Amino acid sequence: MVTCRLILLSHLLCWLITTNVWSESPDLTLALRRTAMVKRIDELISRRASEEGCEPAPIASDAEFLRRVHLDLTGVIPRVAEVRRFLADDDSNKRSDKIDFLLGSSRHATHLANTWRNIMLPSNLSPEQLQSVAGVQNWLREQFIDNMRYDRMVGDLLVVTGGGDSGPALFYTAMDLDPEKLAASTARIFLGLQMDCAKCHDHPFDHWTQSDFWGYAAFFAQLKQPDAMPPGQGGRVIDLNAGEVMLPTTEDVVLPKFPNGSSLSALENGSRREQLAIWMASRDNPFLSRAVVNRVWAHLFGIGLVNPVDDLRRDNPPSHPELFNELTSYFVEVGFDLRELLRTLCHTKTYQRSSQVRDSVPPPTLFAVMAIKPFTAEQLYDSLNRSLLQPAKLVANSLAVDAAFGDQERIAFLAKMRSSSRDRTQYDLGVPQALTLMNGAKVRDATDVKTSKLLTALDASLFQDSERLNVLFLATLSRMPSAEEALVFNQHIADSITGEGKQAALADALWALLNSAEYVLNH
Amino acid sequence: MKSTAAVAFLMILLPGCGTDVSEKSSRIPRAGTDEVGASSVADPALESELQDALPASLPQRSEDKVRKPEQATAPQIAKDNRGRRPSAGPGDSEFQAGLDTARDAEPTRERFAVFVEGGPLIVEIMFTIDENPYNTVRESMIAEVLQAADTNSDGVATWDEVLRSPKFEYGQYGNIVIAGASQSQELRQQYDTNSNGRLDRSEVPRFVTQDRGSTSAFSLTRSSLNAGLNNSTSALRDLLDTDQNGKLTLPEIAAAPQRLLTRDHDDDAMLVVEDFRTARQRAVGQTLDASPRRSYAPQSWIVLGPQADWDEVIYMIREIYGVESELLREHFRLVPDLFSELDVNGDELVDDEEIENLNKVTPAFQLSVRFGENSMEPAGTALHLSYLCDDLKRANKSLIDLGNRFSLQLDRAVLTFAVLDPFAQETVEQQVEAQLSTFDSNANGWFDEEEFAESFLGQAVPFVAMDVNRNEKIDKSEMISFLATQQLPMRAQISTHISDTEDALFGSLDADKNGRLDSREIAMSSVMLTTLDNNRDGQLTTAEIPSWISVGFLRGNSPTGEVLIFNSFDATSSPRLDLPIWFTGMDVNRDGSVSFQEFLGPETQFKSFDQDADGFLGSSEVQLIAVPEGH
Repeated sequence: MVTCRLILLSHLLCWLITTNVWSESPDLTLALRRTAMVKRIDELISRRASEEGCEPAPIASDAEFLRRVHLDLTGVIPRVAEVRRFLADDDSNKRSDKIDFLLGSSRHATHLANTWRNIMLPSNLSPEQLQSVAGVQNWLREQFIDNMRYDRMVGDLLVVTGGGDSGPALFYTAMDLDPEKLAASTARIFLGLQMDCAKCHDHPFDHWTQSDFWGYAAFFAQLKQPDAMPPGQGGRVIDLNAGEVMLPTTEDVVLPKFPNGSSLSALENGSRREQLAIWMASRDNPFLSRAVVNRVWAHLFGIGLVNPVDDLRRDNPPSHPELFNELTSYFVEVGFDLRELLRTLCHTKTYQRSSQVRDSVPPPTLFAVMAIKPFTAEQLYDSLNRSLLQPAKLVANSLAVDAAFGDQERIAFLAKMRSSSRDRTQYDLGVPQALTLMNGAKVRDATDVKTSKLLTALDASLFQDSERLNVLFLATLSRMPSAEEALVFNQHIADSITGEGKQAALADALWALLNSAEYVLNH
Repeated sequence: MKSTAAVAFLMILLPGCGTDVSEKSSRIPRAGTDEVGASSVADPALESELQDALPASLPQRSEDKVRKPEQATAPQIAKDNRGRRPSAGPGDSEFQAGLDTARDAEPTRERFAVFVEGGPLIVEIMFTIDENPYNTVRESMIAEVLQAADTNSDGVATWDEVLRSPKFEYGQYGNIVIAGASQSQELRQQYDTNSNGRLDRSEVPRFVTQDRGSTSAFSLTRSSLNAGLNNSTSALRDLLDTDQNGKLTLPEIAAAPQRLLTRDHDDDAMLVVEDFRTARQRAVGQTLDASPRRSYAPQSWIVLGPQADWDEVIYMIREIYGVESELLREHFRLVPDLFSELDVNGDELVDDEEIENLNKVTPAFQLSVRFGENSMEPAGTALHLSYLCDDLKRANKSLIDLGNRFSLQLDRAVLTFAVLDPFAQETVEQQVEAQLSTFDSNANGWFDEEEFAESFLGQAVPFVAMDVNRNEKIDKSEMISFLATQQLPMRAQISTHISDTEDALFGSLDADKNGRLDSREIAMSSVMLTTLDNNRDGQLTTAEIPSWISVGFLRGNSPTGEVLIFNSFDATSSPRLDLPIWFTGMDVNRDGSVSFQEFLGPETQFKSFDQDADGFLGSSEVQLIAVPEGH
């Protein structure tokens, strides 16, 4: 009996081993796949740089990395305490842990929502439409909190009906439900295709014909805003069973046609938008994944693998074709997981390279050195608040979760400081913006010894003068002062004998740091 | 321009006061007597809290409105009151149009009833604006508008004068902009309600508030989803209930802090109830709870006083308490004294006629609400609980008074009252300074046409409207004058908003009842959820979550008419004089403690100060910090 049991057990063990029942967990599989992709990205980048005779920059310091990853993943610089802890931590995994932590933070969802909202919505919204912006923001943020699959998110957006503060229908109503505007916008944003050049004639540089453009626009031809709106659902959009587009100056009706050339079957159920949403997420659509991979790359590295970031035409090839293809396949394999894509890219040495160069600046398309990106208007405002210990204003408003949409000071600041350039590496702000930082109310109050929360906090007897300077650097530049900087700044503070003089000297130091190039740049 | 206002929420739900009243009592609590503040509160700590909350001397109440008529019997009272409809107030047709002088109205107390489990609660409130009775302030505003409208000074303000007057052309009095003859005709049809060609007193409020103001000085709006059942409609609970089985299990309770922080969009460790409502919930006022919504559930509150609609009051009482005939003492188990007062004939029944005595009985609460620039100074005087009945004193588990907001924690409910006066928080001068500091790009202290066009004021008002002296500049005095006039109607408008739709679980987690979940409360949320599990079965059901009802007193008016979330931030942000000023500087989210994230010094220093190692520096720990030598 015992022998039989032993034989049976051995057979069972053999079976288990051969069938590999104890397969790796999904998380482990993902981690292994990520590690492989990280290595592959660095390999392809390094190879190309080497081919061009370019030596990549060294890995960024902890301080440089921390500030950059905070800005890229959460839209704001780190707090003093966070910088202190990170710099003091000698764990070899701390960068990876920080990336994971930031990707899981609620602020990450807010930052992505801000980023995508700015991509999706036009800048010339009327004051009446501003209320609906909150609806877009809220909707986007909830998608990112749940880490919704990107293809699903785009599909849901395409078929949205709710507006006001409850949904992103403003995306449609901001373009007056105009089929050609919607076609041009969605193609550019989600497919990386600038098809609108084919609106009036065949595309001069690409293969798109006029028929292709209007065939795509036909998907948006049957939209309407209902006359009666339920309370709190202003700006709704509904689908009709009628409505067509015609080639300009003709009576030729153009039926819906997907950008890959296939037509909409008359047998398919659902509205045209629903059919488009299905196609968007299908494997027949090669454009969606490529477009978003390029955008995410540009978000982190300043420029895309293809530039302009929304112009993935045939005669505008990527700087690293093999990398682009492999990264796109990877993104599809991990389930259109934006968070995983960001995690992967942030783990690369390419991302973690310093932005400092010793000699000549290599071509940016080699990604041998991290590009310097000016703050966006939101990053600048929120980072100023963080540096200066300014809390977010709680504006009582039943329609907005994000109080920022009711903060008039923030709205005015963003309007003044927003860049019109689509190139993330270009600093195109001028004198008015510089004056805002130098003399504007926000900086002025924050560097006034009577009104500044930061200076008030530094007045604590807990700190010595040298420590106060450290706090100013940590709060603004997210690093400790160099020996030379400490010497200069501390001398300035020490020259002030009285307490009030010292406070004024600290205020001077704070003002100088806030107006430094290093502060307003994401390096 | 700031036009938003916070709504104070009065939360009243008083289960089981259970006072055994052996005799009827119609006495009114008098100032300085043992009736006030002295109670047989079981918990000495509560007694102390109540003593702190109640002033040493209370304003004398007039007995006239509450004393039972000496000669009238109950049937007579009922007959007198039956069919009384709300008075239209000073604008009633029986009042003359024209420049009636502002009446010397005596301070009035507004009264309304809150219907809760165990009986109705009568709430009585006295409002003042800048230390004046609020109704007189409103009358003064009406008089000023009428005087401005009477351009020919003949003592009668006509619509012709109004629609042609430059004083109203650009909405200077808060009215709609008058743009041409065709619109004038429309406005006349819209606002000259009795078509007599005159601007009557009753027509002024709607005209100057663009239909957002009430005809009467006091208005009550309500938001009620499921009367008294908001413990089952908690968006916060839905967030924590990850398996969506309707209960919070131990793992879900343990994960609560992390789940809550997913809603902290700006990473400041501060959450408001609005942060938990999904887009869908915000849109339709629903939750994802599977409980059926009682679309026709009666509202839980009603105005009393001379405006009371007694047919509606009687209907609501019957609906809410499930009574088909007379009310019995068992329906008033929470407020037996009230039953005794209503039961005039002593037959242990309260019939329809006796219900109308609700206008005369002793209130459960008496509040004084002070609006005005001085109401916020010193903190703690904007909202004053001047009387609390004995039954509520006994049922009260804790009373938290934040000056313009206070809460009563009862066994099965949380009750919150709050006040918001946006006009006190920011004067007209401060509003103008804010506009100049943001949009006066050349910092010369005035707006030219280009700067004005970019400002928020410029988007609402044409340049010529404010450039009164036509010197092509808008200076500070012109802006102040314009805004002061334009805001005049709203400054005289008071409204009360009552809601039982707020998130009941949020109310329970908000330990200090300031309308925010701060970093400590978020960190302690698991512990708090565990304490709510009354039967200790390891699961928190909706029935175990105390209900939350709120009432807010608002000056101005909500532009959408919806119930808004009260912003009590300013009340808690005043620096404490006994704490070092650096503490206030570091306390970025103004929750009264400095977290590790907020601390600016080295981590080792923080740990040395954090005596209880809870990750926060509280006031008690800060006071123990020794000053290093040489500093």
